[in-house]
Amino acid sequence: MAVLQTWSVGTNGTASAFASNRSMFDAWNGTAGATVIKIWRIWAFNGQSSAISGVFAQIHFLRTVAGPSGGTALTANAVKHDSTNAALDANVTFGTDRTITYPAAPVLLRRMAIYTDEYAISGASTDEFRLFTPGALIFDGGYASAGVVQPIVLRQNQGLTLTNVTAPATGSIDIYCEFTQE
Amino acid sequence: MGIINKAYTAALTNAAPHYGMSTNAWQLPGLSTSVGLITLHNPTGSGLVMRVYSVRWVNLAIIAASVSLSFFELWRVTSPLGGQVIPCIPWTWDGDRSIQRVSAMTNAASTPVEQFARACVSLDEFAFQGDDLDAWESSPNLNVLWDSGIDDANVQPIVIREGYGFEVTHHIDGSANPSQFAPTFISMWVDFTLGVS
Repeated sequence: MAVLQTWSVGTNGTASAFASNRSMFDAWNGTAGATVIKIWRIWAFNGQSSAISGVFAQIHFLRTVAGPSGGTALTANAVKHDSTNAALDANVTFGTDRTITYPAAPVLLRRMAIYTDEYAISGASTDEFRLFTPGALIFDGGYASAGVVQPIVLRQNQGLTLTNVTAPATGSIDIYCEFTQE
Repeated sequence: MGIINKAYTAALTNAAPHYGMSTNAWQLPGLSTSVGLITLHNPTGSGLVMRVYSVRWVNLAIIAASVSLSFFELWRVTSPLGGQVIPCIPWTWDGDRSIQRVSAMTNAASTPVEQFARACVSLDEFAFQGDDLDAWESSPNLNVLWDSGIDDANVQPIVIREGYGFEVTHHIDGSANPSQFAPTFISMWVDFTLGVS
């Protein structure tokens, strides 16, 4: 496979606050044509710096089937890895806290639990471990597989959400996603 | 990518010290924000394409420091000015001089263009036999800030064309910033290649 045109997009420090059944991050491919978006890696850093009472948050990786609405758009944060890349298709969007449409039969790709307590300067727990880039890596589909294993592929009118399904919810996360367009 | 690009490491480890405090570490200055920890610049007319593959750092605060949590941010920048030159060490000593057409520096003032990522770091000292965040940060493998494209031929590294630069910026978050931020020590490496396409 050739090198694909790659972008990074993230919350850039405007941490996404946990709330019950909130989409913490989503990607949507609403293109009219054959543009394909591939999600290669996702990081969820601990974004909670002030003291709180942390809880466990369950994050579900779910397919979406309609354009999201509301919330906070993150598309403007999408950065080309190479400035000569083509423009990102205008119908590809990213966001947080957007209203999501799931398929009638939810497609759960994976799920995980995050402890949402704040990090401390000399702490030694999972709160701090999620400050490290390797510790925050929550998805790396296809990496180092030499093209054998697929990443999460978003074709026309397909999306992906990382939704917190847990209540009560406290804390926040700072999410980054590496994706390609072809 | 068509050609085998030459690889370099721009390392703060052996850099001239920022404040003359050390010969083997770079001292992060005191209370300040948006400091360019390491900046690579590919000037207009170089004829080169710079590709950044890996950014790692380690905590070198082996004496007591009084600091807080802050952030290392990865940016595409333009027009870096000033600062101190740091060496770019070729991995293969074959007499190639293309490195002379680009530059690397620390404590430069740059114009930010777009942000790739950021990570929260503790710059507190770490203790002998410590088992906390500060101590874990002494591991280069755990402390990788960026390694895009290293393991997958499908994904681009950060590509820096002529007229642009790449910078790891130290940013102090207001909510996490105490009234004091004392100098402390880090070391950082950026692995990159230079090619003509």
